[in-house]
Amino acid sequence: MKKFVFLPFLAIFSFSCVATPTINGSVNLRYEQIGDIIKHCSELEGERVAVRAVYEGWHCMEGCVPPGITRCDACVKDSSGCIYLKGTGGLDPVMDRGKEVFFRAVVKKTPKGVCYLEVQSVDEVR
Amino acid sequence: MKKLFSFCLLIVFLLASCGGGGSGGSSSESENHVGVKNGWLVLIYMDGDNSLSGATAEDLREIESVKYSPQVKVVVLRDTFGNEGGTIYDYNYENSSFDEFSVPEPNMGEPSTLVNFVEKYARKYPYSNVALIMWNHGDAWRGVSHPDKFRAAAEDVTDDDYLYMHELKEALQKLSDDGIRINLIGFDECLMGNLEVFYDIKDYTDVVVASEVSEPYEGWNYSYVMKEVSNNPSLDAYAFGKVIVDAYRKAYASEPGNYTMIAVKSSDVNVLVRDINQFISLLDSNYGCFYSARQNPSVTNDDLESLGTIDLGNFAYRVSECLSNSYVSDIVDRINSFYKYISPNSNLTGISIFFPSSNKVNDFDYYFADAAHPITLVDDSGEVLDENYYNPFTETEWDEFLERYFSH
Repeated sequence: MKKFVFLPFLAIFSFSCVATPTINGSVNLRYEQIGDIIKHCSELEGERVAVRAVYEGWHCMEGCVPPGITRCDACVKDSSGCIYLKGTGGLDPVMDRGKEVFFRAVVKKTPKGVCYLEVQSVDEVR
Repeated sequence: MKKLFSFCLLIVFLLASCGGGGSGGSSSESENHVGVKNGWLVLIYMDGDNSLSGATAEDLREIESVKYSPQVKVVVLRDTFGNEGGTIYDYNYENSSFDEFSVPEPNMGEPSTLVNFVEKYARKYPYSNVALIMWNHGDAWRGVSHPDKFRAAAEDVTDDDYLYMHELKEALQKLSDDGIRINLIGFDECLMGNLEVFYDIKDYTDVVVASEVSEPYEGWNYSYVMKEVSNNPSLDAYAFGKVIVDAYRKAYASEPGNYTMIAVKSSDVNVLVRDINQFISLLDSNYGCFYSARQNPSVTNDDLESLGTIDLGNFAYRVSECLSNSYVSDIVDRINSFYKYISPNSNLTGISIFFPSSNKVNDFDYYFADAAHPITLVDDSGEVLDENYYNPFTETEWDEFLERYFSH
């Protein structure tokens, strides 16, 4: 009986670990889809997130709203949507376009309410 | 009597040959010789056919806000994303505003578009000085592991084309061959404050103005720049460049961020390259010093790292901390002497150079394509972009330096 009581707690714990993994023992990140980040930008503002997306450089989808931070602002997309990064995001907008990348970023919002990401680290998915 | 007649004939002859009021010449103070006005023709190549489309409107408003003197003529070619065709804005002195003319959709990534624009208006409005402002995204120097994309000065999404640096160089060469001299080239773009960029275009202009790192979305302060030039049309190219730097300082000095803007004379580019050739001769007997300088985190930042570049002045300074030699201090002093704005507390000095953290980066091999061994650039679709691509900077010894550095 005790085992069956324990199991739901194990499930909840496991889910929490997947959604907010601990990296290097001390940092928590949320895996997020771009669409969800944009939808919940206000709640996520200031939070660190982990995103897996395709780097589009400056070839951003129509409807992908630029935050207007720099003249280098590049964008990334996944199946749920497109979002801009502050600056180039540490990649080359010409050469690295089309690469699938994994990056850690902080969710930010401009005074006009445009959601974007400030990249802290980026790795190519191979 | 005959002598008097001859004398009168001589006087008449002399008066006639002065050409006063004749159609073959001009006695106007604003023209230095036939048809050429003293002052500035400012041509702005505004490629907003990409994610910067929204930024073109505000900069155009700034440009249009100035009432220009007759000694300054401004023409803008603007392309935006999602709109068919482009627009020419040509300043009209009669009503102190810009006339607008639609043009067929321009491929701003095509060198001939740039050549045609500059050539047309330089011939239509011959001024003693010409400034060309490149407005767009900028990618400084960059090579690739598969030869489809390269360092670029402009991007046109509608036509899916980039104006690569070697194409810009070709366009400037064509203009030069056709007798058109550009006195100042400015890049209202990110990341173009790169020594390889300056070197590529040094033979076609007197002054280059550019930012080493990202520019804010608002870009240059055109209201300030154009007003200053209009009020002082006798500015030379370097003075014009200084105005651009001052405008940048005025706009961003109180903004948080890491900003740079530098004005460099082309003649100084040659001298700086000479300094570098001497500086790098010290590598072999001082490898440890060069290595530790390269590893110093202050010589680069996110912007520069993404391009495989470092800040040249800071790198030389770090070398000077472990190696006392005039070849080292010459570089530091030379870059310090250039007119520039650097954000307070920044480690940057205004000019970057290619020096990746590793020789395993994708673009490394393309840096070494020299004029004697050009390569064919082919994009993903198999289209040949350039049958004779080469890196003009291989004329210097920097590529040899990189080979020696990474062979240790």
